[in-house]
Amino acid sequence: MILMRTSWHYYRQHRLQTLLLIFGIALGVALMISVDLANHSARRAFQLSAEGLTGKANYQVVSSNDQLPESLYTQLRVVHRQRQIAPVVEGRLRLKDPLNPEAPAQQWTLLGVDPFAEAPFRDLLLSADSANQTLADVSLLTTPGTVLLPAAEAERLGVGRSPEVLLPRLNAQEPPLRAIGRFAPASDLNAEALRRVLLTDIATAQELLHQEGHLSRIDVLLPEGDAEAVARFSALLPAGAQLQRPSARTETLLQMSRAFEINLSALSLLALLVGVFLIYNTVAFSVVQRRQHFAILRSLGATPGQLQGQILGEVTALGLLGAVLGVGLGIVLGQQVLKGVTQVINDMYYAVEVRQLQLAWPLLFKGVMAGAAAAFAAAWLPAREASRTPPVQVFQRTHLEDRVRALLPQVSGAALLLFAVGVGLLQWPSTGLVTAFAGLAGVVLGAALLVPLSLWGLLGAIARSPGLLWRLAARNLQRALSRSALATTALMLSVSVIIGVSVMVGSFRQSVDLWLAQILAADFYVRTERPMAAAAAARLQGALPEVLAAVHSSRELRFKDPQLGVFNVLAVSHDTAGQTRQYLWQAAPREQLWPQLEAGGVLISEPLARRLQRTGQFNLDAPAGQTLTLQTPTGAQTFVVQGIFYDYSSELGTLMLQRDIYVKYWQDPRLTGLALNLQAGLAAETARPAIEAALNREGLSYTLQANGELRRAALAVFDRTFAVTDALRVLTLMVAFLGVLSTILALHLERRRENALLRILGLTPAQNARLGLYEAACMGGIAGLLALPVGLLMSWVLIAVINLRAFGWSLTLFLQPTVLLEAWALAVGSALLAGLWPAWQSWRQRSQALAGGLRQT
Amino acid sequence: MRYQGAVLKILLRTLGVGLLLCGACSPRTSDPSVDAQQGQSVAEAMSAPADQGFARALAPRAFVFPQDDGPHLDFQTEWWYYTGNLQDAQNPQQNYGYQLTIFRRALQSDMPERTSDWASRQVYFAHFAFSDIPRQRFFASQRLSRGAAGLAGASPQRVWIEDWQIQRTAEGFRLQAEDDALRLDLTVQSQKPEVLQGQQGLSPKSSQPGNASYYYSRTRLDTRGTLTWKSESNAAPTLPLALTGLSWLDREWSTSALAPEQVGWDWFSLQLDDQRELMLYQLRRQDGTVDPVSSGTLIAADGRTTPLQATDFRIVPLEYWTSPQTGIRYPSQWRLKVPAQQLDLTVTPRQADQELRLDFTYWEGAVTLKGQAGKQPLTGQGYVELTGYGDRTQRAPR
Repeated sequence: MILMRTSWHYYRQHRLQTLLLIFGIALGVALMISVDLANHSARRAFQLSAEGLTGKANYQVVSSNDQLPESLYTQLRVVHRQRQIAPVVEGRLRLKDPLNPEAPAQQWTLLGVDPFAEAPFRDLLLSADSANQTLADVSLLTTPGTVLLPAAEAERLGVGRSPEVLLPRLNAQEPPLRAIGRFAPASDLNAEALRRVLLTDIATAQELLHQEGHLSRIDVLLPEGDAEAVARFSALLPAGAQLQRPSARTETLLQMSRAFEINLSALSLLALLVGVFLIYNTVAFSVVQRRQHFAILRSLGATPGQLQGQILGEVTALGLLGAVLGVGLGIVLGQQVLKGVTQVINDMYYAVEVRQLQLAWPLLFKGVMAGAAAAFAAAWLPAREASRTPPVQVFQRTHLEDRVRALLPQVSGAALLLFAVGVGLLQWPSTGLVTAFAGLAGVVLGAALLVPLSLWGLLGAIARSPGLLWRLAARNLQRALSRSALATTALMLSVSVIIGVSVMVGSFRQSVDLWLAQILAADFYVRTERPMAAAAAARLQGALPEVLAAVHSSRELRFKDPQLGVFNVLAVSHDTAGQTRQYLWQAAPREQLWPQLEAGGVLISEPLARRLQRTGQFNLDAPAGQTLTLQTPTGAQTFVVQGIFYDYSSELGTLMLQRDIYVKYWQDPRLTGLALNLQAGLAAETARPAIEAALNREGLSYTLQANGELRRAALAVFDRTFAVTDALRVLTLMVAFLGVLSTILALHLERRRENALLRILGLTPAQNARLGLYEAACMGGIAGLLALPVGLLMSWVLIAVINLRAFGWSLTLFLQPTVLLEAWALAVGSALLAGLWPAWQSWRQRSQALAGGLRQT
Repeated sequence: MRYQGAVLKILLRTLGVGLLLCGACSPRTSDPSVDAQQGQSVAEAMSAPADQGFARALAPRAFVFPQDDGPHLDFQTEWWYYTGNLQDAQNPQQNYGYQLTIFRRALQSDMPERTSDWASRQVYFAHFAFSDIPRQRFFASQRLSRGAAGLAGASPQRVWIEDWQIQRTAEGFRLQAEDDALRLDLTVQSQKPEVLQGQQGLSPKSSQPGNASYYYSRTRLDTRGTLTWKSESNAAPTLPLALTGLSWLDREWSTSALAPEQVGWDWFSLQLDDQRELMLYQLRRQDGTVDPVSSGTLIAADGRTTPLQATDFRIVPLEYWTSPQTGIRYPSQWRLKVPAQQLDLTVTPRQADQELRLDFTYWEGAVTLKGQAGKQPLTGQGYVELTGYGDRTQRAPR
């Protein structure tokens, strides 16, 4: 009881430090769980929306080229008498907000169904809102461009209240959609998941998505567990159509965004490391600082066991308090992270609207436990040390530091060992990400444990400098190694994370930029939302002979091969980037590659090659003469791989082939892209109106982008993707700043007596304040210096191991010296900032306080 | 189920009241405010003036075959209505009854040019019922589809909705329909010329001009074909059973709305053993009286027709049957009198339960008749349809 009261007294007296302790733990926990929660929520939202869209179907008929002929549905229903089937046309549309036309267009999923076949499948209660309900329902079938909105959105836009609600398209040339009613999923969960879904009649969906004649899929209900029924149904399907579980499709989409999530997880892992370290730092301090206090309690009769129990108990309690606060903070933070994550997923993968953070209890529990456990672990050694040391020794100030110094070789040895294990794990010929992350953790922790030794050495060097105050500052820190090393390590770690991530992102961006320059060789690029007729390309050139020198066409589709998995197939009439494209490996000189493609060879992208190597279907080490066999709609075809090109457009991987070959095997003459070369001397902006007019005449839904525009747009998406990481980097720095602040504050409080002595010995208040700042600068400078190699190492691991394994992308490490300089300045700056308040305090220390300071012992 | 109002009701039910995406099975339909709202719009829509763009039956017209076997897309509503009494070819004591009806309903009189094959302003739906008299069983099922994408449609050669179809053959028509329990495959061959009902095929449905239909029948269709019971378990499939019998076709198209006071109708299509046929319908009004536009036709053995006005016949219910499933009480035996023709007939259902409990609940079943033509005893068979006996908006419980 007495022990508790003395503790309470301590915490009340040191309010700021106590708050820092709790807040430090909270921030560490918050960092940890915010990324976890955001990742989890985005994934869960996607699954829910996929389930909502799939409905109760337990099977789906899909085609290997994403285009199911609609006649197959009629045949199944009319000829084969299949009753439990429903056709679906699904696609994405970008719409402007009618209430806020200036806001960027939003991505929507358009779900086109046949209401007459829907009853068994989706649990979406439809109701139209216009004055005459039946007429509105009829309009859905008979009026082009009519859609139903999710109930909440319909409410917001006043569907039903105003006679007509128009939803403008991103492309102003296309007529707006008309919202004539709402749909309301039966469960709130579905309502949340289907927030970004437009429901419409299947005819309207075909027209809006330019998918006339084709379905996206056929939903099927078969008796569960009846293999015979499944086999019977499969037998009805023609070549090119296959029956699969809906989850297969969901999985494919989830896999697409997996790599992105892994990058985020890497970041959250680093955040965890920094967070745990911060907790350790803060807790260890609060114990070390009270050694004398504990010694007094020992002298008064408290047993070591009692004392240790007391310390661990209170620290764990504070840890729990901090962790619970951290959960709250993490939820707020996670909300922000989620926005970024959702943005990226919508940009790059699939339309999903996530407003609500899914509070997954296991994740929250994990966060609290990690926080409390880190606090407990951090307090263990110091508590043991403080409670076992004979009180007399405690009062000898040097005793603790002597012991810490004595420990230096062991700590450094352990560091080297950890480091070696980390490097070993990274070199491990495994391709898994778990070993890569473990290796990264080993390397970083190893580096962290080397900090005390390095700090000792570097401070020694400073201590030999001519400046008196510098010498004093360095010696002070050397003597207080137990504390200064912790703070320096925390700062070093967070700055190195900033360097590592910055260099990785910078290298990534630079690689992508260079690659874009290499592959964007045409003047204009046209992409259509849905495949267009091949004749459109010829007509375009015929219509604009003075403008266009050449029109090259391409067809890109997501292809699912039963053996090779999902990847993009890109069929081009001409490799416009053939002159500049960079290859990881090529079978023949650049100018001979195209003839090889015309003869039926293929090029594959690096991510595809790496993925196939992982599954043993391709050998990257001896690529010459290797073949890939694809299940094309006309049957199995074998292609010789003629080269592996760098490609950052898709982590799924791309297989490129000549268009005639594609048309022959896929029986699909349509196009999705055009590359336009202008006549010599024609500026892009002069040519644009004529090209747009010609494309509009074709009635296409398209995007037309000039070379430079496309490059800028690609980089803009890239930057948005990594905006999340920026936010996390700032947070990491905040954590480190807190660490330094609490260290310097502690040193300052501990040394009030020393300060007083120095003042009496003739130091001016200003000098005294400078001493504090110098100490901060020493720690910051050294932390920044040590962070440089560690950060670079981290960036190398991220680039050469983690990204390569996650995405299959080789990135070139681009190092901008300014990044390093900035990071160092950041370390020093934040340390100085943290030192300001204590320095101000020393400066203000008046004579009475001096006397008080001296009396303290 | 022949009357436009019923067709409209079914469509309201399917399109407006929320068959769309399983409204019926959603708990939200039990929200009373929603129900009230829907009830109101049913009433509104029923009395609302029809789309002005549709053609209307205003004056008698010339009927041309085979064109008039095909659809009349300018009119809003149309049906191909087959009913028949069948016997086991080997064992004539075993009686069966069937009904196969395909309805067409245009949602609007016009639609903008569309590029999708799925776009259509035509909706088709169909009812198929089978009365298994020997085992006192009754089967009913339905189809509903847009008239597009090859899923449903009509031409003089073929009228189909998914896997059910009526197809012209060299001799007549082939009817094919099946549900989970059985498959019916029949050929019908007309023994008489088409009968033009009402005034040379113009059949008024209320006193308002244009509230009328074009209506012809084939009243004596020689029918033969097969019935196949689908195996109920995985037992060996049963052999097709050969059937013979007589069918009746009603063809009707119109653009008209139900008069607000009309609540339902009793419709008789009777084939007398003296080679005559009698068609009678009476429209019942809310106050219990019979609408004076009710009418009928007597078809002589040689095909000559005698139109009957509401005042020419009397229909008196003798017995009642209450459906255990829906609680609806239907008349289950009648005395029909056509005094001018000296016809006095008692009509009795072959079995009580021939209630179709589909999106719309009504009774339609095979009947026998017994009575006198003058002094001569007379027997026969036919079909009777009864609607509007439950609450107007009442649905079968699910």
